Amino acid sequence: MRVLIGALLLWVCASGSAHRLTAWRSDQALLTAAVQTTPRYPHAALLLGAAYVRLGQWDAAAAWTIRAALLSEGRPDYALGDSRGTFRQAIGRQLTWIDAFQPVCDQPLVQPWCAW
Amino acid sequence: MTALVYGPSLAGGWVLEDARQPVAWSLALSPRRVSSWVSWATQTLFSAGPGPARSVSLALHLVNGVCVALVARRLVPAGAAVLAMGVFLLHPLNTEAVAYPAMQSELLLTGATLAAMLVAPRSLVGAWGLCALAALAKEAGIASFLVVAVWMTSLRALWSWRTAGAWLASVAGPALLAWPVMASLDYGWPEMQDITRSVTGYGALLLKFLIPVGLTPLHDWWGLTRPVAAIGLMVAMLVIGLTWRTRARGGVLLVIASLAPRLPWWLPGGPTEHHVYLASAGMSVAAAALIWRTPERIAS
Repeated sequence: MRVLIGALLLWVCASGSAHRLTAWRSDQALLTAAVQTTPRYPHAALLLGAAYVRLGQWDAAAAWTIRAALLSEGRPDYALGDSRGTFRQAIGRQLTWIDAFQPVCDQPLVQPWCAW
Repeated sequence: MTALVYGPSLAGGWVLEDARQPVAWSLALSPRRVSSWVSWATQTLFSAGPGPARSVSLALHLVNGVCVALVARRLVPAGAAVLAMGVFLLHPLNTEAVAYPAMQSELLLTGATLAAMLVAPRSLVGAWGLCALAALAKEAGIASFLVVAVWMTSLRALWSWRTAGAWLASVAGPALLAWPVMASLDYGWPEMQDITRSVTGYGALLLKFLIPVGLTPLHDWWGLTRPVAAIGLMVAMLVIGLTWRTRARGGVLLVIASLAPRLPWWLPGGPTEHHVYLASAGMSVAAAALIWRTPERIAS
């Protein structure tokens, strides 16, 4: 009986790990899973945008970076001191970099963020 | 079975902080010397790619699993010890520590700590050396001294409290020297609100051992406000109080000891799953012991 329970437990653990490990193969997979788990977390969206920058997928990179900026606007923890400045600088740098390959900063909504 | 589960992940690439590691792996300057040496050896013997790093992490995880079984065997029957090993090796909570090469230091500190627990009954010097190795793998590895003290007093009853006190006093000097280093890093000096948030945050991660959902390297701790953290601290106190006079006290103390160096500080970005890798070893043993005894309880 205890062997059966133990085997069942190990099978459940193994299945869970096998599923989880599919996310750990690349930055894109990991961060895509991260934004699905924490969809309102600005850092996750920013990092996913950065992953798409490294892949040269500018549409997706711009979309996720802009989403990160939008998510941070409503968060009190992103409105304080150093964390706000550092995050905004990261957004601004990333959008400026994307803009060099695909114009995004000419959009009125995005212009303020490019200046961060 | 662990190799089968983790095998496909060996072909993965660098993720997140991995790209920064070659700069951080300075053999001479890094406080995580042991981790730096292992990384250097991997790059020298094999290659600087992610494959060898991930393979070494998996190998370390397998060794740690064997150590968990050997440690568990001191407390539970052989079958339960094997089950504890299996749970530890296969639990989804530990995938971050194993599949994320930048967290190899966590695997090393856990291995050294488990080895110290096995060596301590025979050799104090050997155990001290292994604990020092754990601390040199990652600064939080200083917890290994506390873990060994709890192991030898509360669970194995081989040390008196005087012996445990002398053991901890032997590391008090280096620990006091390390304290300003810890405070000078990103963490700053600990504050009460940091401690309450940490206790609740790590408690939430330990709950994922029971219900492994919402696993991610990027936890959003925004909801962990002061009132929530205060409630979390009270719950933690309640759990400790309820287990104090039971057989689970030693296990709870082991978990607390393994997390003790991290609790005073709220890390930038908050705690993540790899921080509870060592604690998961103790929880695996507890889970196996509970399951192994369950059929007896049903029969009675």
